Amino acid sequence: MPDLFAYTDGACSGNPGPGGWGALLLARDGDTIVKERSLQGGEADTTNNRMELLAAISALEALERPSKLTIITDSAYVKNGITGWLHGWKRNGWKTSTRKPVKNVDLWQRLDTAQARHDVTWKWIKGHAGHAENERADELARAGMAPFKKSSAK
Amino acid sequence: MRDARTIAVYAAEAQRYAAIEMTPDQKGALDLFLSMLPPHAHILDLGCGPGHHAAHMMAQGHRVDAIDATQAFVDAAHVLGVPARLASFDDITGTALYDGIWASFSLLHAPRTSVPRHIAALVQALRPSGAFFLGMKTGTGAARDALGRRYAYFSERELTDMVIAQGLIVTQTAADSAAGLLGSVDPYVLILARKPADHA
Repeated sequence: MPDLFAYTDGACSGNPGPGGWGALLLARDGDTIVKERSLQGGEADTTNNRMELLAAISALEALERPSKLTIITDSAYVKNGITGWLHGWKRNGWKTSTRKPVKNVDLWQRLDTAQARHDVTWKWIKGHAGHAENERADELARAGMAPFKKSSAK
Repeated sequence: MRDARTIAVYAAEAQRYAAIEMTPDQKGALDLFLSMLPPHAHILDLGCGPGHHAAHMMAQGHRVDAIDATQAFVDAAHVLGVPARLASFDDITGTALYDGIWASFSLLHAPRTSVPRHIAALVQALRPSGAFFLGMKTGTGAARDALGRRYAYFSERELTDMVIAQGLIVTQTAADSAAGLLGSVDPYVLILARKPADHA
């Protein structure tokens, strides 16, 4: 059985502003890549954190069967949220420790549902540090953002 | 304009097709589309297939005009309580009729050169502030698949440009593509757009 990895990234031009997300799904058998799938998308008016979340959500939702996979993100917000804060938020009825509503609750709930179908290991890496797959996820995110950037709309 | 071979494939496969459930990303796109609509909206489901999407829309309190060119799908939709009717893309006429138009992987069966004209007719039928969803497989040219269905392929950029050219504001896109040895995922794009409020 090949091992499955998802490299996810978000991009935003202005915060809020037009944004994009990208996910590179790789099935590796040892050092050989046996399959790859790329996902990208964008929105007209969003934030970087929302795009980081949507990248991970889209990777998980794209898998038709429950799978064991590793998600590699350069977003500490996503990594810390999903592996830590989320448990407290759920206990508190989606409020933070200071009783404020959780930001981006719609996407956190969607991510929670999406990951429940799978066996996910979350990993954080430093972005823009020469990591080839992370760079490709970044390119996908930028491509996803392209239709929404006014300067590039022909 | 109707393609008899495509319709014949769906007629033969209607029951099997009706058993295929929505994937999470399709469900996500549908929920997002519905979130763009007012309560009790009037929706056109263009190429409704077995009626799952329309039934979900109706369960949320919306009124759905569901059409399909395959009689077996119209019949299957009736079983789900969806008042579907037999019609094809050329039957879409009129102005400002719908609050939302859901064109989920149906326009890809039109002749490739007719797709821009059909999109124009759909935008015409959409009310100001109306929501438009377009799901298409992506690629180049036109071809028949192994089952004999006719497909028109466009790139994500060509499709968003077509939608923008009709005066809509694209609010969201999502695209998927795959390469490799373990089976194929047909690349596709999902586009959500809104008609400007002051656009007649």
